[in-house]
Amino acid sequence: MGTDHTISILTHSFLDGYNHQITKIFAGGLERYIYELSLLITQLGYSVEIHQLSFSEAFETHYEDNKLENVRIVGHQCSNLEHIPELFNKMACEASGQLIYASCIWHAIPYKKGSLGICHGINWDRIELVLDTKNAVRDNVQNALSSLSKLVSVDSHFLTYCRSTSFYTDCEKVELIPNFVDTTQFVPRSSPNKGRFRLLYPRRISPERGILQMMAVADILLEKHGDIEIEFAGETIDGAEVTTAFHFWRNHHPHGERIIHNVYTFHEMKNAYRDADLVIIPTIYSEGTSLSCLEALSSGLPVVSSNVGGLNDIIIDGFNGRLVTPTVARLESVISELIQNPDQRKELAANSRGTAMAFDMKRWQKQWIAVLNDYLT
Amino acid sequence: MSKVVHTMLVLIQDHHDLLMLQQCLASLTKTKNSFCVFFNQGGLSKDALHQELQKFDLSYVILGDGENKGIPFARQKCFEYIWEHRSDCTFITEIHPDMLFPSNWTEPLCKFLEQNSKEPCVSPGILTASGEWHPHQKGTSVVDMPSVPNEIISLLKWLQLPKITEGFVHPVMHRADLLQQVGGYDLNHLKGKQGYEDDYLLLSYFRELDLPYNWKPKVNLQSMVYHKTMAQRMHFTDIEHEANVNLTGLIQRFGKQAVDELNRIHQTELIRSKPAKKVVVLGENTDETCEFGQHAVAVIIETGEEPLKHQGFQKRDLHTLSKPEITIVTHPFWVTKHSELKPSFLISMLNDANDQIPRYFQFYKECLYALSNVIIVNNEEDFFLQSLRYDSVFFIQSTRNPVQNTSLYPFSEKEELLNELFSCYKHKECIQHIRQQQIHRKITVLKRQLKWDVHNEHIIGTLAKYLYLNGDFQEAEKYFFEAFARNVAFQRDDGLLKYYPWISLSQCRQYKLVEAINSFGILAVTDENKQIYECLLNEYNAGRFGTAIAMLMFALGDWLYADQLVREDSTIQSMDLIRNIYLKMKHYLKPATDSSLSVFYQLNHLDQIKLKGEIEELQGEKHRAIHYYLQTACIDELQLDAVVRMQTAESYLKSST
Amino acid sequence: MRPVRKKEGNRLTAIMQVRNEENRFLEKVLQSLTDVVDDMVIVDDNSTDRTVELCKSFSKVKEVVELKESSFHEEWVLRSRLWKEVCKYEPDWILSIDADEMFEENVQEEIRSLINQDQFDWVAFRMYDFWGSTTHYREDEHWNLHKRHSKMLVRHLPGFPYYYLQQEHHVHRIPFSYNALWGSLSDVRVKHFGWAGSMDERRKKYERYKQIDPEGKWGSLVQYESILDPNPNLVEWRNRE
Repeated sequence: MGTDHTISILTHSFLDGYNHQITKIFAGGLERYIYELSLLITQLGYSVEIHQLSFSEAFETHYEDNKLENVRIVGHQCSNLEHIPELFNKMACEASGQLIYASCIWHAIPYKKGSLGICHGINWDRIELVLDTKNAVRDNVQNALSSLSKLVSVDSHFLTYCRSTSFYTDCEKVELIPNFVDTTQFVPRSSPNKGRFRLLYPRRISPERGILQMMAVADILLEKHGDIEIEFAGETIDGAEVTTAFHFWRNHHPHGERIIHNVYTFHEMKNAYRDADLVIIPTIYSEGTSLSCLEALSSGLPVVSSNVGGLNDIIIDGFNGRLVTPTVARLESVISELIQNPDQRKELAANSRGTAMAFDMKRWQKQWIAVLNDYLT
Repeated sequence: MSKVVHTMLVLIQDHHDLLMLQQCLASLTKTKNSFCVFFNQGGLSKDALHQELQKFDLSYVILGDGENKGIPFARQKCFEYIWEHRSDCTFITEIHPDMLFPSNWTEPLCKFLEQNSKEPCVSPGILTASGEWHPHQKGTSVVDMPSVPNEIISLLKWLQLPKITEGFVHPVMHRADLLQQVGGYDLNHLKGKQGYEDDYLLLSYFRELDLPYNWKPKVNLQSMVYHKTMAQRMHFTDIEHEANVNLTGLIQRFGKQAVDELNRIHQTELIRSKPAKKVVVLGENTDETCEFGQHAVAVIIETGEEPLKHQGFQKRDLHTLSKPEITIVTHPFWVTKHSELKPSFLISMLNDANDQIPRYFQFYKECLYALSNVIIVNNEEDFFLQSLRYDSVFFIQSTRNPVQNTSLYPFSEKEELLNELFSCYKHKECIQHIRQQQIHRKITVLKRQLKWDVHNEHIIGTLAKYLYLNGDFQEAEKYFFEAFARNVAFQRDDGLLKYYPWISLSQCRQYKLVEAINSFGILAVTDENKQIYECLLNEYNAGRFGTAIAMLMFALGDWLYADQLVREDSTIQSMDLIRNIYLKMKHYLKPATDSSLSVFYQLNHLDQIKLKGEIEELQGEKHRAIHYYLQTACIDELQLDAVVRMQTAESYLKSST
Repeated sequence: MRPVRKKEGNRLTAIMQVRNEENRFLEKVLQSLTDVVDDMVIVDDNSTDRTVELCKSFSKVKEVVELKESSFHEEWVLRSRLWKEVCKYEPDWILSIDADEMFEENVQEEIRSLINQDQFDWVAFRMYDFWGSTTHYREDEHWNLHKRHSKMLVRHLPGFPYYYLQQEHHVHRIPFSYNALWGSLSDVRVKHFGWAGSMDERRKKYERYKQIDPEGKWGSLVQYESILDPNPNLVEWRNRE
């Protein structure tokens, strides 16, 4: 296939380049997004090529599974995150197709004019992040808006951010396409849970996802409620301090037998929801329209979510979940309340599936096809 | 010819006495190459005694005509015989018929005297019929005594210890030439039949040989002998009278102060010290010269793969231990375990080598030092640094550079110090006294060295630091300036950083505050110090002198004095200073007081939780510590490092135990 | 109390030792210093001419200490005396300069910026030996002082000890304890007119050197000999742009 029929997706992560396990896709939201997008593109008759970063050596490989065929993947060696702008430039130069800048939109990337970009949410919404950095991001976003033909945003917050901090004239420059959930995959369980009451944290073991708060909350919950257990379903990064701390914490926990840790593939993830009674999404910063949150809703579960980023687009407090500022005390209080109140849980769960239907994958595909058709012609 | 000649007084009064003599001689023949001089005090005729003695493989001579003329007389005759007829012998013993000797029991004694040429005599350790182990465990029965001589002898071998202690018992081995030099028992003074003859001889040695003021007779526990009875059996009706005659003679010769001298000679550490203490050592014992004190029943919890080299130590699982009196920590990570033992006294004795552990060492070292009752360091510069921060810091030179004369003195410096500490650890004044003495000795030695080496910057600087620690601030300041001058003269160019902090400190301690602040100003070239300097000037100009002094002392490392000022001077209100002292000295790890609590409650939220975490961690409450640290990490992600630190320490301890 | 280092308002005092300078460069030197320093303290080493009078005619000369017995043969005594005399005024900065030395022109502001700071405590300058005239300086293997920097300007630090090497000749003008402090090397040049006079004067100086230091104890004999070199390498002085 010639250049005309290839689309090159530039991203910092797809295959697991953190642990150099480049035969599998890293289990994060961004990676799933790119996977689904690639599927869609191939369905439109284009071939897909992905350029990503590798935190060990550079690589070039092909990925395929039963749905996605023969995707060329190039891993560009990255030793320092400050090199991201140059590395994206390198990817753009080496790419053989039309470009989609699929991550790192807040970096000072020298874009190829007229390309398409995706913003997966605001990740500079960390309250203690220094002002200089926040100001630099504003400039970088302005640059992206000036250079790219279109920017797809997964949540309404980035759209508002652009409108409020940048100058541009094209009202359709930022296209809001909320994230998706495959409501056929994630379905409410048919029979009630027979084991202990289970809390599920379906996120990476990573500080921005609120793992530290979740661990501290777990200490209190496990002490307070003798009949609950907590599952942490998410990847760890080898060698990261938080990974060490997480394992050390578990090993020394007086209720360690009620703390479960599993890493699931995309396809296994539905099992985690099936066994859960309550889902906690305690994100601290950097959240778009959380796939996990949508999956939890689609699985008919009550959700306790932080009021961060795109989660505010999905959860209406008291209707389909609980929305809290992610401090240990507030999270613990709301979770304890829900643990002790089955009626409230039932009420929330009753609205969750319906919410998820509004984010069904088919809607997402339709919106993206329109954007792609526009871009490719 | 024999190197060793034994002397024995023989008085056989019944069958039992004879049996003992036979058993004794049988055991003595196991040691080859000795000659015996017997003095017949009665009971058997000379021929009858000959007959008895010929049954054994012994070379001997018999003196005396069977009349009991008293101990000094009989012994002196033996000595005189030897000096005349066996002048080639090196060592002379005084042995008794109620003893049992393991083979080659004389060897360690000879060796000791050969290696310590100034010691006139030495005794082996003895085990008595009641199972007491003299002299070092006098008063407590330590073993059940077997009745068969052979079993007793094998028990003796088992009890041998590679130790020298102070004390005097019979048997005793004298250096033949020194015994002759002092004249042995002078019968002009020792006219009584028994009593004070041993004291007479010891005093003769002490006076005639010009032995060191604190000399005491030694016992080499590598040799053990069984001595059935401790007291000489007396058949004189007037024991007291005979002894008084000898005491009068003794005073006649040595004067009245002889009694005090004798008291001192017999004031051995054994009398000074209490029975053995249970000491637990946490960490490696890499120090070959230190066996953790003589009166310690040491249980060592060791890391590393090195097998234990020392006798008397057991390697044990921490959980099986009951509460020890004293815990010695030799590796900073072990401080996290000490709480499981809750000792009443904590000694830290870190090795220099520990400094090579790159991460987290500092934190645990600071915790350990904050909690320790005594800190022993083996680096002199570290000693000065820590002495300004903590009470009761001692410096013992690293064993890799052994001090001179160790062979003359049986204990390593470290063992000696530990022995002293063990005997008085409950009294803080006593520990301070030992430390003062150490510092005084150093000052004396350094001043002497300086006379011969007047331009030696190192000696001058070191002397100045000891003077500072001794409270001689004016003299210290003078020497610091001198050291600085030498440094400049020899173009070493590091004099400012090396001496100016001390100059400023010394001036401050003399209340020469203007000079001290100016000196600080000269030193203040880094941004941090410039900032402190500005504060100092502000405090001074506002008339808050107490705050200025405390601030300066703290900035230059004299935490102890700064802390004392803050506690005693109510005009010092600077919260920053009070808080910094509290945090640096880790007061929060110690039992809370009203004032420490009030500082705690003024800390910000994050610091409060962090300190709670550290308190829990040092008390061994890992899970609770993690819970606090997690909460700090929720505020500041970097705080997660504390959990990684815990994990690092734990995996170190796990991998090596 | 005031800080030992000030970033502004520093008072600069020059110190100088003089002896029979009337007919040499003294007047020119004092005139040029008047533009640079705030005041001066001078020690006169038993001059027999009108040197003292000349010094006193300059208003910035705060004190002339007149020694009735010459310390000429014990230079370190003279240097220490001078230092002690100036310290009693507690100056902020001290410029140690000789009666035959001058800064190049238009450096007043530069000197001020060198002392109005709190980073370093001494400044060293390049010193040029003018030879036989005030237009050329000498440059060869024995005469190259200007290739190095000489400490001349130092901060007065209260309580800081000062030592001079107990030498009779060629004593450093700054106490050597200042070596322990941080300093700065300046591009400002200093003209030295000690050799700028006639051949006759130089020969006299040579003879004096040989008399004071016949064995080359305080200096180099080869350098002493080179004073008489009939064809020294001379370089023309150029003013700064």
